[in-house]
This record gives sequence, C-alpha cells and structure tokens, in this order.
Amino acid sequence: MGRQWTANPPFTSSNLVAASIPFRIFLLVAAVLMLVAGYVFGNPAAILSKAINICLECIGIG
Amino acid sequence: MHRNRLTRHSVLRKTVQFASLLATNLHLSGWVTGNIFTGASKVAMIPGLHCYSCPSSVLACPVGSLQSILAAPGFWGILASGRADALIVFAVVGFIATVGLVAGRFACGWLCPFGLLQDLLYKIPFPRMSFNDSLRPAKYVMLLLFVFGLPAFLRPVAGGAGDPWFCKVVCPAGTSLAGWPLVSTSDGAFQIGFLFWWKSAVAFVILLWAVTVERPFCKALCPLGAAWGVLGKVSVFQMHVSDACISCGKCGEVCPMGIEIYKNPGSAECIRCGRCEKVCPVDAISHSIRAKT
Repeated sequence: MGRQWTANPPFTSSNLVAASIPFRIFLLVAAVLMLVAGYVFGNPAAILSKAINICLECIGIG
Repeated sequence: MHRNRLTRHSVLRKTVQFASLLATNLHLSGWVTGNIFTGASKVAMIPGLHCYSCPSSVLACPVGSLQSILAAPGFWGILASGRADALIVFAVVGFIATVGLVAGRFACGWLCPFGLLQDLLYKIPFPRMSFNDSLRPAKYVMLLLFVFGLPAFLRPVAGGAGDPWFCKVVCPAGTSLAGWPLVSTSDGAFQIGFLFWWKSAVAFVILLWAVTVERPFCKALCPLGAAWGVLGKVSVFQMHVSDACISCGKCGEVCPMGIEIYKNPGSAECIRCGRCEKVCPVDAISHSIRAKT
C-alpha cells in the first residue's frame, strides 16, 4: 500500500493547503525579505529600547 | 509498538522544548538579582510567547515588540514618512510571517516557552475538564483587536502614545514569568495597583485552566497561534493524511489541541507536534513539503 496523497475529499482540508510549492516558497521568501528589510532599513533600537527596560505594562504595573 | 514510538517522540519533543527554553533564558542570574538582561541580543525575537521582561530572557517577544512599535506616538505618520523607527515594524511582521510560513504553528508545539509551561501544568494530576470549542475564535480577536487594532489606533491623548493592550490586560506570560518574579524581588520598588491584581487574576485563571485542560491558552487566546495558524494554511511544510486512513480516531485521542487531523489535515489549530503521526496504526499521517496532488 503506497502513499497516495488525497486530492481533498473525503477529507475537508482547506484548498489553500493544496497551494503549489512554488507559491508557498514565494510567500516564505517574501516574508524573509520583509524581515531582512525591516532590520536593514528600520531602527532595531526601537525593539531593543523596549526589551532592555522593564515593560511596566507587561508586568502589570504601568 | 506505536506506544513506544509515541514515548520516544515525547522525549524528543520535550528535549527540544527545554533546549529552546534554555536558549532563550540564558540570563539565569536575573531570577536572583531581579535585573533583566540588557544585552544586544534582545534585538532578536523569540519564536514563541515569552515576555522580554522575564528576568532570564535574552531575546525579545514578537508580540510585545509589535505592540510597542504600533503604539509609538505618531506611528502612522512616521511610517508614511519612511522613518526608521517605524520601518522596524516590517522586521517584526516579517519574523512572525517567516516562522508561520515555514511550518505553521510548529513553533507552538516545539519551541514556545509558554506552550511548554502549559504542557507541564497539564501533567499535574487533577480532574480534567472539557474544552468549549466555541472559545477558539477568541484568539483572532486577541490578534486583530488587542495586538493590532487598539495599540495602533487608540490614543488616550491625541498625538500621544498608545498602549500595548494585549500585554497590559491579558498576557499571562508577562505576569507569571516577569511580573511575579520581578515584583517579588523588588523590595517594594513597584507601585502595585488594580492593573497588577487584574493581570494576576487573569494569569492565575489561565494557569489553573491549563491544569484541567490541555493547552487552553493556545486553543483560545494566543495571538501568535492565531497568526501562525492562518499562515500555516500556506506554509511550506504541511500535514498530510493518505488514503490509507481508516478513521479510527486514535490521532484525535492524543492531540493536545483536541482536533481530528484526519478530517482536516490543514487545520489552523494544528501545532504540528507530530503525536498523531506516531500513534496512527496505518501510518497514514505524515508531514512534508510536497503539495497535494
């Protein structure tokens, strides 16, 4: 009994799951580019300044 | 045989979860001194929910970072003008998207520190409760309203800063892993008020819930899980159920998220923990990069 991948029925999987591999890889590459561009053109200190100081809202004080 | 397979898999998963916890919490002395880590590594983010004010955390929380950037004074104006302080939001969104587009909620099942905490709490012998599935959509409200909408658009004073609403009124990770330890080691340096007691009550209820229901926060409230669940629909790695499936339901019995993967392999609730693959008597469940044919 070999592995045969069902098209969809009888399982009610979302059609999006069947999206082509190139499309899914394209989305992933776009996300990675967004991540890199954010660090290159953005100011990482905006994250750092929040993260190295105690977040009063997070701990329920502010 | 399948029981042994599941045991070995559980050991592997726990090992990875604890390794992830340790890797993101290298500043262990913070638990004694009450001082949080201030090194440059905090410019990078954790693939999971973990407060950056946790005394031992050496990375930043993506949910907290996103809210703090969106809540900055005049965020939309400085974004429109292309200033670097606002453009960093693309790094945070890109990070969340990248993790989700690799394997959906994989990070929830294998890397998230708060997921591990819930797994451990559920091991406490205690009467179990059933989970009300109608609560599952609440996590999308958390994501759209408390993480995006309110921090980005609600300004108590025109032109002023907004608030990180999810962190401020909901996040149990911030309270339990940062608030409680920091307040207890501060010698009264913090002014405890209504907000602290509110957040403590929310965290206590969620932690108690996690003793009686498996991963309730992941199921009902986690905004990261909501984002990664949606992205998982088009992630590179997907779950597959072959024609060999006999619909025995064993996968559903071991699923920490309470779903029946054989009915919906692309479920946004699946945290890709892999337990279903190990108990399937006919090996019908698998994960791979390949698309369905």
